[in-house]
Parts: sequence; structure tokens; C-alpha cells
Amino acid sequence: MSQVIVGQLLNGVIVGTLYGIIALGVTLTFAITGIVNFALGAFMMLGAYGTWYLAAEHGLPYPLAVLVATLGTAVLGLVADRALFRYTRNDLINGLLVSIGLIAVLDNVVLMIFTATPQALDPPLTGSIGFLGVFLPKMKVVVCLLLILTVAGTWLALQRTWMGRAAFSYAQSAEGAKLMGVRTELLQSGVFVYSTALAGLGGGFYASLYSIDPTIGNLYVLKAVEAAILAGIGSIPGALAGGIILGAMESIGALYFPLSFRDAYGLVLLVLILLLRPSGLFAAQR
Amino acid sequence: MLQIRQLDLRFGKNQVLHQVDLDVAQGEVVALIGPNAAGKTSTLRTILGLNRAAAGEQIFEDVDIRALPTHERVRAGLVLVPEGRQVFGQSTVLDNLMMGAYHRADRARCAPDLERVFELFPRLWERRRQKAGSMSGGEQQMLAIGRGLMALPKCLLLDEPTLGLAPVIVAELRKALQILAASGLTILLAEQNAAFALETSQRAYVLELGHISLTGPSSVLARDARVRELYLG
Repeated sequence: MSQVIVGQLLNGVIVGTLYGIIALGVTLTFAITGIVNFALGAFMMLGAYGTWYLAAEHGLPYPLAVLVATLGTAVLGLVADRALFRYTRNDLINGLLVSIGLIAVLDNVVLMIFTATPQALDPPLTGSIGFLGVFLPKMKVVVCLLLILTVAGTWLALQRTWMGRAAFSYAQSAEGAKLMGVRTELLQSGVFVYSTALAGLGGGFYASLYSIDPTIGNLYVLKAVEAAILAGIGSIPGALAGGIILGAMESIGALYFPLSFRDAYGLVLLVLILLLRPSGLFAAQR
Repeated sequence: MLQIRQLDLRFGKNQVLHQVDLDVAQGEVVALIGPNAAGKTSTLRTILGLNRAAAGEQIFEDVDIRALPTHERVRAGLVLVPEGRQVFGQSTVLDNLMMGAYHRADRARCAPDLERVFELFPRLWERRRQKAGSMSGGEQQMLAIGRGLMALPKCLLLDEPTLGLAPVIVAELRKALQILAASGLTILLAEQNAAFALETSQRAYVLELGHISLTGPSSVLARDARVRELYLG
């Protein structure tokens, strides 16, 4: 029995890192552009389809397919930012409306091109690894580690560089940063596009683990927003931790309670955490 | 050094500034005094490009800066210490000061400038590892000025530096501004506290309802009957 629990827990952690990578995008986008970009789920789906299309249909090696799909997603992110989201800066409602509209457009374009038939990649990496008495697919472990590395890299880059300094400053006082010569419009676009790239990367990894269809991103972005709120908006390590906590909670909940309500267990946790720590687990409490 | 001519500023249908003329020469300390909502902050924000002027010339060091975005004006040497300070509250004092050097090409080598700021405001040195938001208003004002100095301004613009501060702190700021002025820094000081502004400056402009109503040497304005009645109490 304990092996089942450990297995479920580890699976939850792995899924949680996928929530976490999108949550990182959610939290960065909110801190710098002042909107919640629900379309990050759609960008994740684009990354997944891009990877699948390049790897399965055109025979590109999987790592290269992920890389190209991630870059492609970032380019689409840039287009979305220039064409739409630059007009919704710090406007929560308009940002919400535009991102929901964009989800409808992107989901349906993919639906039109690739149909609703679920697609799947041949696993790029087969076999499994024994850990704590349970066996995990190698691919899942690799994906989990790469996502953790990506979040850690982002965090380090923001800690150590002048760009990161500018971003932290901007999140605290937009005008203060502007008056110190920060190119705020560039910073906002950069963070927006980077967040879409993170989502694309998450999607590329997702495609190697599960079958994909045009709606996969919608549930994931909700989970990511949950994870970001649970952790406290603005916290980078918190976004990952929030995703992992959420994923683990869902897996454990699904073990003891009806599986059909899996998505609700995370929400119960979210409510409990916000009752105890209203600004989130990792945020500075006011 | 800085020439503003016939500056008009509108917010929608509301005209905030009417044909404002303003000159600041190299090495001069100029005060902009006037009551609340006279347009002092709007004037400074327009000079930094945060407000877009409806009409008028803006020339800094013989360059027309009208079309320049804020970050390029900062790079040109115009640095504003804004009203309300706008320090980065969750960052340490040191990080705030470093952020002042952000626009500089040599920002990695700003240690000597840091020392100069700490010399001017020793209190910032004591608090360098403290979060800016946890300091008193006076200390935050010193930090905001220090951060502005880290940007190596050619012309430093100060917006209401004494607002809400205790007299002891105001005296400390006056001393600091005198030291900066003696070192040759050009300063444009917007203040409701006319006594402070006239004492610290060589020349002053009185701004009323968006018009420059009076201008002259600060010592003369300080004796002017109207100024005395309206602003010096």
C-alpha cells in the first residue's frame, strides 16, 4: 500500500512541475504586465502540437522538435503581445477578455488543422527507474528534472543580472524603475514572450508523456493559476513549489476519494491555504 | 542647460500648464514654488517625458528632447527624484542605490559613487542591508535622492523632497542639498515649502494654476510682499 502512495505522490510531483512551469509564466506575467494571461494554456497546447508535428510527422529528433516548437511558440507570443496584449497592460479585465478570446481562436485553429483526434508521440525515452521502491518512467523523471532546472535557471538569472534587478524593481514601483532608465515597454514585452516560451516548453514536454488534443491547455492553465495563487503571486520558487504541492495533493486525494473529483482536491487545498495565509504560502505576508 | 519654452500640457480637456517658460543654467539651483495642484509635479514629469506636452519647446544641453522617451532623457542626464519617493520597498537600501546606476554603461563599476552617496547620507550606510520599505519617511527620501545621484545626473530634479518630514530631517536635507550645490550639481527643486526652497536656491519661479506668475532671484522673492503673504505665512 505504501508503494502505491509513494508512486502516486511522485507522479503528482511530476505533473506538478508541469503546472509549475506554466505557473511561473502566470506569476511573471502578472507581476510585470499586470494581467493574468489565461491564454498561456493555449500556448502550452501550441508547444505540444508543434513538438508532435515536428517529431512525429517530420521525423525531427525529439529534443530538437521541443526546441523549435518552444521558439515558435515564443514567436507567436511576440505577435500576440504586439497585436493584442500591449493594449491591455495593467488592465486585468481587458487582459482577461483578450486572453479568453485568444484561447478560443488558438484552440479552434488547431482543431481545424489537426482535428480533435488525440495524437501521441512515440516515447522518446523508454524504460523506467526504480526509486523508493516504485518504478517511474525514465521520460517522466527527465522531464521533471529539466523543468526544475528551467525554473532554477530563471530564478538565478533574475537574481544575478541587471535585467532581473530591473524586473524586481519594476514589480515594486513601475514609475521608480522608469525613472531609473528602465525600458519598461521592452521589459513587459520580454517577460510576456518569455512566459509564452515557458508554456511552449511545458507543452513540448507534455507531448512526450501524454496524448494531446486541442483542449489540453485549458485545464492546465487553471491549475497553474491555482498554483501561482497558492504560492503567492510574484514568487518564482513558489510557482514551482505551488505546482508540485497541487499535483501531489491531487494525486493523493484521488487515491482516497473518488477519482472523478480529482480537480477539486487542489481547490480545497487552495481555499485552506488562503484561509491561513491570505497572500499565499511563499509571499511576504502583509 | 535646460530650457523650457511656452510649455502647454493638457489632460483631456483640462489644461494643466499654460505657456510655462523655465530656464536652468549649468551649476544653478532653481526652485519652483507654488501651492498644491499648481502644476509643479506636472512640469517635472513633462521634463522627464512621463507626460506628453501639447506644445512648447524642451531643450536640454542644446538638444531638442521633446520626442525622447523617458529612458533616453535619463541617459542624457535628467534625473527625477519623484514625489512620494517611489523607492523599491522590498529591496535593500544597497539594491535601491545600485538600481540608480541602471542606465549607466559603467554600472558594474559604480562603487566610488556609492561611497560618495554614503558620505552624503551616512545613515544609508548604517541601513544598507535593511529593506527600504522598513525605513522612516526621511530615510526613504535620502535613499531616493541617493538613488538619483547614482544615476550621475547632469540636472537633478527634486519633487517635494520635504513633504511630510520632521523639521530635523528637513534641516539635514537642506545641508545635503547645499553640499550638492557647492559641488556644482545643477538642481531644479519643486517645493510647496517655499521657505525651504527659497533658502536653498539662487533663483525661483512661482507657479500658480499652471502659469508662471513671478520669477526672480530667491533672495528678492523671499522679500516680495505677495510671496510672503501667500507662501511664507
